[in-house]
Amino acid sequence: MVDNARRGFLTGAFLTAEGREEIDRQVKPAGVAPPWIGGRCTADACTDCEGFCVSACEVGIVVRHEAGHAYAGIPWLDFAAGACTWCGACAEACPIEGVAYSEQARPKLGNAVLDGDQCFAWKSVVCVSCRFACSDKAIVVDALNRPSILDAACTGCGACVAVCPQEAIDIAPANQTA
Amino acid sequence: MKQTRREFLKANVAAATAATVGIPLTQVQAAAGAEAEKDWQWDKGVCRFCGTGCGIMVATKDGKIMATKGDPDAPVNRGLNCIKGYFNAKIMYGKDRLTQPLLRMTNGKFDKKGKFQPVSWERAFDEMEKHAKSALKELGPHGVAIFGSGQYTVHEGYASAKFMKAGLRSNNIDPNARHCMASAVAAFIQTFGIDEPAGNYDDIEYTDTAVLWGANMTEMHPILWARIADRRLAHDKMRIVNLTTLKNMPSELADMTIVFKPSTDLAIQNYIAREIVTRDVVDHDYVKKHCVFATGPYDIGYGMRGTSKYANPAEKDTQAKELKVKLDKYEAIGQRRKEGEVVEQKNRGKAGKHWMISFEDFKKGVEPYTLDYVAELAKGDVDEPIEEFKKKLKQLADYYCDKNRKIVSYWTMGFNQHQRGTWVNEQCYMNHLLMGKQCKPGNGAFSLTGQPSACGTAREVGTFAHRLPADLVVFKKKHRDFSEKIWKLPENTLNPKVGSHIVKIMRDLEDGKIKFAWVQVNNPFQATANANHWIKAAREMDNFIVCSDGYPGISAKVADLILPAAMILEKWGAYGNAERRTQVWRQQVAPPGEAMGDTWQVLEFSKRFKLKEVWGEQKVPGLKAKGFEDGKLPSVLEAAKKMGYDPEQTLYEVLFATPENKKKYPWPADKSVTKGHANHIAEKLGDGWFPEHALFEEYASFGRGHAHDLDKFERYYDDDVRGLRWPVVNGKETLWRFNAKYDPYVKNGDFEYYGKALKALPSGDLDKITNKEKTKLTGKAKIFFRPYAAPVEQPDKNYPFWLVTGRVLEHWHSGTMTRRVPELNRAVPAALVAMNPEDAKRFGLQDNDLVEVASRRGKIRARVETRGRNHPAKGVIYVPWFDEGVFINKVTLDATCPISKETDYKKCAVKVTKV
Repeated sequence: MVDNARRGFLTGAFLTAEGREEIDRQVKPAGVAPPWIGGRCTADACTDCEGFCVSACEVGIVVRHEAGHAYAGIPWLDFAAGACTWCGACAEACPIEGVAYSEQARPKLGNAVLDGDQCFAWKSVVCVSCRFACSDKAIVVDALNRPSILDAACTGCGACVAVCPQEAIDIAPANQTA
Repeated sequence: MKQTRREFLKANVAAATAATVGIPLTQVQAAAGAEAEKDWQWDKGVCRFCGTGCGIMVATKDGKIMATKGDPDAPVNRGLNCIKGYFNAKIMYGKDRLTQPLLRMTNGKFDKKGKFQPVSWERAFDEMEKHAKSALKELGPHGVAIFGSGQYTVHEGYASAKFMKAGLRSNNIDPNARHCMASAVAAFIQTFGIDEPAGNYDDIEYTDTAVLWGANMTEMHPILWARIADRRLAHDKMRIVNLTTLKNMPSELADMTIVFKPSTDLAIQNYIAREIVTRDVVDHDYVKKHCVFATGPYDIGYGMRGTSKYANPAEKDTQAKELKVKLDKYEAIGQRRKEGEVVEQKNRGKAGKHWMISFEDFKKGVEPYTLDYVAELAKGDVDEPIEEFKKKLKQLADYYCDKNRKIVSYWTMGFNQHQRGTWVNEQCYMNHLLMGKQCKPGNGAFSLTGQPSACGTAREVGTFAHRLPADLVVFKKKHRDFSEKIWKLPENTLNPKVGSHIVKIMRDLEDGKIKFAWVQVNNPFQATANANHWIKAAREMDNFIVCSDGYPGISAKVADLILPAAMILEKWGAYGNAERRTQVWRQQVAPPGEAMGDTWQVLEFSKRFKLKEVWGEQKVPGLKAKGFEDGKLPSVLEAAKKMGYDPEQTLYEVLFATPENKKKYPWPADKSVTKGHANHIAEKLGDGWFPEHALFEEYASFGRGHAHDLDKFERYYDDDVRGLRWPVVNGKETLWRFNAKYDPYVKNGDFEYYGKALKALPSGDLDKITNKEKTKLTGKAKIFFRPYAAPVEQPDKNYPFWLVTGRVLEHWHSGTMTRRVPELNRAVPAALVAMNPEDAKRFGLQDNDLVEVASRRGKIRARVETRGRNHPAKGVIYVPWFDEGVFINKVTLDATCPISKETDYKKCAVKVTKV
């Protein structure tokens, strides 16, 4: 982690927006962690098992950070590939002590965050792509058909991410959007 | 809220976003400061997609497109774009763009079972010439065909139609627009005697009521829908009604949604008419002065084949109904007959026949359509209480009957793709005419079109099997004479026999009656219902299929030769939208590789035919016309010589690159028109003329002085012109036709329906002609009585669901272009089966489960959704057709409206099983 940041600094990458973005990509988690495993998905706790959670996921959205990344080997949810169904398979497969799947409690994964500068509907282009992706009614539209996210209703399932033609929706970890 | 919406449409326009192409969005945005845009050259253009006709602005730099955006000066869209329109340029940059001709070959020779291999244009035309000439020799002019398009530019359609009709003397050219608005056309001609709507989009801002009859405007005409939404929010009296066979997106804004059973719109229209009559709110003065009443036969079949010869065993029961139908309870009431009566479909060949009736007879016709009867028949959601449904029908009738309420009826494929499509269109005019709510600002029945130039090219240019330009038809001697004069053809060059409509071209391939077919600007092998038959015919029979396309769609894969076509902004073009607005654009960039515009392909191919090969005597099986020997077209070579033609001349020289065209329309052309833009077609032809200009002016000469007037070619290229609504007389466009206040062609009275077609009728009663003597109906429109008729195939024990097909906002038609845009593909990657949640539960299905949808004709697999945009009632499923991986037209039924020959894609019976 330090190496990457340091390398960026030394090569002057910090001086450009692209450079900073690239460094961010290397040092920050690429997405939210799988449910129930949550806080234990850190370099310390996540043993280099074989990625049981990855192969367990029925939707195929659990992926691991690539080698060279600050979080290399640690799983995250790639919503470009689909949405979380809280089936619990990842948690049940996880060998970390204390990780447990519970049918009753569905941990909130995060909050959908809409980038208004990217969203078509906020820029006079008629688009309805995310409207029906949300089964929790967390996407609401105003009279001009412009969408907003209701954080209270959003579970962070990610169903709205892949359908956005502009990639204007991301799922941020719940504690970061407060 | 009101203000915000208006701001959205007006103020926000300036901020309308520009779509970038070619390079990833983020990079462009980084560079998209004012500095970087400094040397972008902006030019006006027209959207490639639906019939709305939105204006776009296109920025180019160094021969590359940098961006497109909604045109703030375009009166249609005022700067807005829908998500498809936003990607107008990006559709041209898919990875698998066709850039060279491809021929099926084995060991360097054409082989129908061979693999596609690149060939030169020369080699491609050689092969085409060989097969076209062999088909002509064996079968005559009707042994060849062109699948045309409502997406042709005006020039492309005109060149193809002239090449076929005047050159090869074949009327076998028919557009995909046949699948799209032929029912609207037939109703326009039968009702008004002239094609195209009376009103225009300005009606939206004048009306109090928008009634959608089978039009999902939110997804299919999103920009017009934005204008309707704006009106709803800004005008307190405004109401919106959504009539549909499944609850869809317009219902979110609509004040009322009426879900009806397929085909029962026929009964609902008659209920409204009955209310207008019984409440005595008829505008008697208007009706007396401007209308007559009419009806026609009911036993007209369903446009299917009359023979079971080609039907597979499962298809036979549906096919048999083409000839004989047992009336159900509701048809019996609505047609004043007995339940269970078996009716032979005797008028299959004369479906369009009609005669005048009295107002008294008309009243008798609508009398059975009481609220009780219609509500019981039409209620489309089994879970809706009948009283609730009745209340809605009554409210709907109230809107139409209210003399102080302006009303516009909108429809698209719900009416047009209908086994009684012409009837239901006519019924819509029936109610507007009875109330005198037609051809007035904010009042009128308005046919929306699906394709960008279904009006401007397919209809106005006349790329149909029965048409010539400007509403002329091939079967009328006077019309042929007029066309032969403009085209400088010897008398009787034109073929009087109506050619095959697009469904029949497919059937003719299966019959072996057509052996050469050329697909232009459309994808008929994905678009035609009951597709298994046609694909088999194309692949396994002795014929040669050519497909010109930008991308390898299903039709290209089915073809024997693929020709790479230039796309929208790679050529000069003109489109005509649904409100009669003709709009143009210039070539912005060069086509990739060896791709060439469709106009060039036709012109170049026309060089392969000498007059002596095509203008000699020709056999045309079935031709029977006054002045012609049965089954034959005469040789016109001697007459041609007398006109100064040499039999050794090619069609290119005689029809297109004439000395006159070369002199009057030179290329390079005047800078005021070209503004420095290139023309790859003129340049490749290299003989110094401007084909688009010449073709446009020649085409326009058909309509000028005949209520189809277009302005001069150059005018449309003026910087301050954003299209003009024809007729354009003395430089002025016409907003409401047939209305003396707006239409210079009205010579008598306040309103005059001056269209000339079918304006002399015999008279009779509801059942038959009683007086063969024809009465002239100069200046009048017809109010038709048309009864309810049940769909030919309905759900039963084996096939318990109605299948409705259609489109989605994100994809255009068969998806060949929009599925190449990653953003659009991400938004809607695959066609899903929309289903009622209760039905899904009953079949043990969950969202995303894979199911098989099967009919008597074919089957597909797709995933289920129960909570998407469409909300079918129990017993109905919806599957869009854009996805070639979910080839739903293998499942659909090729029944058509027997009058318009337009396919009904909206209703057939299917079963759904979990895979």
